[in-house]
Amino acid sequence: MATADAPAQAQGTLIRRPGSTRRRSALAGVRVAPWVFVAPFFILLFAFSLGPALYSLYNSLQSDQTGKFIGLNNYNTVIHDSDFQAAAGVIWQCVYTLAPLFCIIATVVALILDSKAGWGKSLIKLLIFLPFAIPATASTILWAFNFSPDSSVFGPILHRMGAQDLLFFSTPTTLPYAIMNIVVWQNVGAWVIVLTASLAGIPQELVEMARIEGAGALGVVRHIKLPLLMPVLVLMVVSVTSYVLTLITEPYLLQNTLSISATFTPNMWAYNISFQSGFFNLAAAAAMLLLFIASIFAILFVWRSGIYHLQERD
Amino acid sequence: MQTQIPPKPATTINYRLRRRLTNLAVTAVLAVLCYYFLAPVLWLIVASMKTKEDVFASSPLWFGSSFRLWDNVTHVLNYNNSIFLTWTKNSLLYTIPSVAIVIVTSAAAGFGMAKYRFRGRTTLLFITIIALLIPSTTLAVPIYLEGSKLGIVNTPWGVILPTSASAFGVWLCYSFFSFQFSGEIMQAARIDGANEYQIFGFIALPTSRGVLATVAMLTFVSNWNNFFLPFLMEARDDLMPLPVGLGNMAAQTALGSQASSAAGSAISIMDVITGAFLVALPVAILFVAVRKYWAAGLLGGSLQGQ
Repeated sequence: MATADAPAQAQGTLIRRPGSTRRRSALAGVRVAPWVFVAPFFILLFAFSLGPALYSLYNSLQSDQTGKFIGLNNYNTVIHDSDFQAAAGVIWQCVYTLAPLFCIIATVVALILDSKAGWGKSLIKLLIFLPFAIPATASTILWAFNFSPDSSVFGPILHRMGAQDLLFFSTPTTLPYAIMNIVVWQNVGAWVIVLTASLAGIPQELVEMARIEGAGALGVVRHIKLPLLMPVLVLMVVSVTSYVLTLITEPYLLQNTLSISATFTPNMWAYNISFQSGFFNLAAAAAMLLLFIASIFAILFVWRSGIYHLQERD
Repeated sequence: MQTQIPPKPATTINYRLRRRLTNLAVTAVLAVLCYYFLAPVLWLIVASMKTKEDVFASSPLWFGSSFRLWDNVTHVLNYNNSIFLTWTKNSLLYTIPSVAIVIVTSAAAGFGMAKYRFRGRTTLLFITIIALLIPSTTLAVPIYLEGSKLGIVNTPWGVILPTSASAFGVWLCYSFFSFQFSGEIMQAARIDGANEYQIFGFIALPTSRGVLATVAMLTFVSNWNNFFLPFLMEARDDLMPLPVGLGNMAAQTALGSQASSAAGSAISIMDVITGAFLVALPVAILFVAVRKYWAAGLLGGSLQGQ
């Protein structure tokens, strides 16, 4: 965007100066240098992402009791565990309610902030982001008190909803919403900023042209802004879904306060089965399942959004 | 730019009225949003200045009957032989080295993949994007299992090393070097006799100060706020970073209720509230204060090519 007219890209960098007599040490050559540049990052990445994943994969194929290779038996156990199934159900509910809700809120707020209507928007851009800078621990604590009508800034609304105390949020129907509320409150601002930044990058001429063609504000949104925003929107859907998939911090911290089950989400299930019960290989299998689903989402995103080809088109 | 479409004369008044109504409606929506996002933060600030009774009895967004901030803060800081200060020190100890490593490795890897064509480059790029999209929480338990094998559990390295590779940082740097750093400068430097590392160190790094500030800022906040990985890795009280320690304190109290804390616990909810305030405030202020750095970077990272 900013430098669409950037001078010819790096294609030329491999051409050695003809007639160069200067000898380079083997390490300084253009053949070796790029590997030296990328090596530290990829070594760390492999050591602490791919390495653990492979190690867990290996562990997940072994029995916790005998240490022998048992194929996919651990996966079978995990999938048929009733607590794990319940946890997967909760996550599924969160994915299909929270993810769309989250994305709609973020998009609408970003579009409003990008529009010409309304006052005080630069201030709001700053403030809406504030919750993102607050650690999940602190925001979970502050929300626990704001779920309780007597200490909440939303007291009147909670009273009207019929909440006596914060146990109102510990029923199976209300609990997922309480957790989702914290996730939205904490993270929506970051995506609003990303979306408004992307909206600001849309060429003004495009919008003007649509206006001259007779499009109203909503028409511009539908036919110009949303299509151009699509890659970022897809990225948001993928990220939010992945976040929900691996939810643990918020429900874990509220465990006592809202009497949440120790296996409320799949990640909590994995934590519980390994650190409380000592079945580390079962936990590895659960982690692999989550990683597998998250990877599918990631690959789908890369494939569908075209982000990869855009970056490669130089 | 503002006046490109003159409204039809016959409908001018109507148009103005509609415009004003739209403004009003939008501002009302924004005010509601503002309250939702900001009121809980204000609550935290005000509540940390109150007594426990006032948290429930007085107005949630205004001061209580007495100003107790200093008493509350002193109480938290004195709790358990000033362990709060130990946690603060741990947070700094875990965060600063990882941010430093992230800056260097991200700049180098982004530069390497953006400015050189070598075999395996597209594969590495693909791996970076996938790593960018996979949430770190998925890997926390596997990292713990590996870490216990390597013997880095309950040491600072258990948190520092896994948080020292940032695919997001690499992606930002890659975008920056691809689109905003010309290959011609590198050619010129080569003709002047610079080798590749000198080009990187003396030209590329100084040019990318802005994007590196973004990477540093975002990495700092995400590592400072990280909960789950240090929670698994640092089980000992004196090794915990702030969010984990605070979470531990919270687990021993009855959040959101006036009921007295669990029997035998020396922690009151005021410690937890004030602790949350102390943990959240510095980073939040820092983050807002240097907004121009990360805000620009987020745009750069979110799909330059569209």
